[in-house]
Amino acid sequence: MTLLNVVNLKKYFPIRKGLFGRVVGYVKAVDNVSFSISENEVFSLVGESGSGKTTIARCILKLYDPTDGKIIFEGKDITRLKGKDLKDYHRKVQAVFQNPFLSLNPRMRIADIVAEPLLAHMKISRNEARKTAIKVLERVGLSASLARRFPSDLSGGQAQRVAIARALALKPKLIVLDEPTSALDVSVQAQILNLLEDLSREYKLSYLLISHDLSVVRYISDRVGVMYLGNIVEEALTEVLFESPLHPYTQALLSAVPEPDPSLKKLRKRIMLPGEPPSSISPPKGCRLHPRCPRVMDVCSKGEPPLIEVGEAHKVKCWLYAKK
Amino acid sequence: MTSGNVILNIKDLNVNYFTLEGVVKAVRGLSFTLRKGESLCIVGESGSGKSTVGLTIIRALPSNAVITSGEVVFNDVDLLSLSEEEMSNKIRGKEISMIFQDPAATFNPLFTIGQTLSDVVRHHLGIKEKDKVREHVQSMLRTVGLPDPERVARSYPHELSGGMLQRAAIAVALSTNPKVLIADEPTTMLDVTLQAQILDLLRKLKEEFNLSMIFITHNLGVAAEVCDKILVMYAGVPFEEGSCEEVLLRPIHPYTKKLLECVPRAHRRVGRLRYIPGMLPDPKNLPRGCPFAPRCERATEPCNERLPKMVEVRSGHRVACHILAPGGEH
Repeated sequence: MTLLNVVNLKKYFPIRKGLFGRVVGYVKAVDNVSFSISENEVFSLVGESGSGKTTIARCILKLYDPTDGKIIFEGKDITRLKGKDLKDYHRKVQAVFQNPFLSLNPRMRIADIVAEPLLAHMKISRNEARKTAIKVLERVGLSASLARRFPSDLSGGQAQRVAIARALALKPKLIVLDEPTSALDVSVQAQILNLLEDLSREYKLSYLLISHDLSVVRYISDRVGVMYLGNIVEEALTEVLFESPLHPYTQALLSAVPEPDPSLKKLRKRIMLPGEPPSSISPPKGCRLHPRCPRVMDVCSKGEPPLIEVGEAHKVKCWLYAKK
Repeated sequence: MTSGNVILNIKDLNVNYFTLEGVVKAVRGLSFTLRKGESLCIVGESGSGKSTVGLTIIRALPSNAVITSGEVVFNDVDLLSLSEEEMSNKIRGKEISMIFQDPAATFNPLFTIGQTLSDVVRHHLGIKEKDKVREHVQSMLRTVGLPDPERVARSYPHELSGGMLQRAAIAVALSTNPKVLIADEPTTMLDVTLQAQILDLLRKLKEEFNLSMIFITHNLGVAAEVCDKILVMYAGVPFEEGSCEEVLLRPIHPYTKKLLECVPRAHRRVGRLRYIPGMLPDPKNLPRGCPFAPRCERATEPCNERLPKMVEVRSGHRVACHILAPGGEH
């Protein structure tokens, strides 16, 4: 069943200049993006910096108001939620960010950090909340002895576990994970990825994972959307996307990931994209990839390609796959 | 050992940092050699001491660092015995150059790329004529693949994107035709497609300039892309060294094996990830013996007692482990 449905989402940031803050243009961070996440599904948005993936996460968390489009959660458009419904939404959708030390209050004890959302949303005493908090902390692999410590006493991996515990405490439906392991060392990253995987199974959680790291995305996701300059250019089941990517950008992105296994390296062919992504203030006309695309055709600079369904749950925004 | 084609020889290097909370032993008993035209990759997680090694070689350690023992022999000269003046006039930025994770570190934000580059060219190469300096600057910017070198030379660092600025930093590093380039996580701040471009560029320039390279990274994939040899470090201690293929395909040290198992892969489907239990040791409070012993399932008594030494297990493949490479006491 669909849990979250994002429909034609747009988020433009105005660029202001001069004394009176005249709007001279827009950064089109997210431009007409649609996707959905089912219950107990891990959906990832992957892309390079400036592709708009974090902006989407922030719109879903209601940290930004979308410029246009709908975000429908359990059948209700979240941009119009008020009162009890809004509070309920904030309980059901939680977030874990990249840097746990910036998202944990340095002056609060670990148990209180995890108990805080419980106190805000449920009618329970501080003591009961702390007890629940300790149970959740133990579930994410932290010993109860850490409960009275402060975030500065923790390692990066432990602090990220606290952030996960806080997100988990309210038994949410969806957790938005924005680069949850990017600040961690590889040996610790594996622990956190496994924990996230276990929790999603155990609590029937859905995740929206935002990441630039394709290997992390492949490991944990059921389905993936690839973003480039504010658009989703390809969307498919994880194995389909990684084994037979269709969009030239996805192919280039995948081929650029360095591979530790020297025996696999020889089999890979590298597709280089020249230059760097252009600015999203004035994205290229037509297909946004066309100035860098190795398979560019005449039509690419003329019109924006449609999102074409090429297989089951596999969509590509590229003229190569348009029916003649 | 024939010293003929060895360009850099590090012998039993030990570096400490003195902090208010105590002494941090950043590098302990590190030895390795770098040959002409070879690229060596130092791989490690945070606190492994990999960046300290780079800064020690060019003698740019922060003031609270002390090199307690060891030698850094470059062209038969121990760099640690040179005066600061000799170092900055003849070696640093001339014979041995370094690029960093943040390319902005190479540049003064108040000077244009062209000004910085021509300063380096004038100081180290002794070229005085304006035209020749400009010519050299332009050709360097072209060499690193920057389009429109005239415009780039007129730009301030903040006007360039991360990828372009890293190219410019490489131009500065290579403008003096150095023998050795030390690259400390040069692509960590870049997106993967730009990372691929920069790695390609470094590979190409290494051939063109006949460079020897020390590449410092935490990313095993990046190491596999650019290096002939890999040196794995953990908490300041060298654990394993060998050719890229040897270390990545036939690792011996328990840490290297585990580390390879816990990297998720983009190019291959993996089952459930193995992970290393526990966390990296506190650098101010390191275990007495092998720093990996508390997390190692094979650890026995000697592991907790003494630091293991590197032993040659196979030709060119050295490992420091009491259990899998015993005999490394001397």
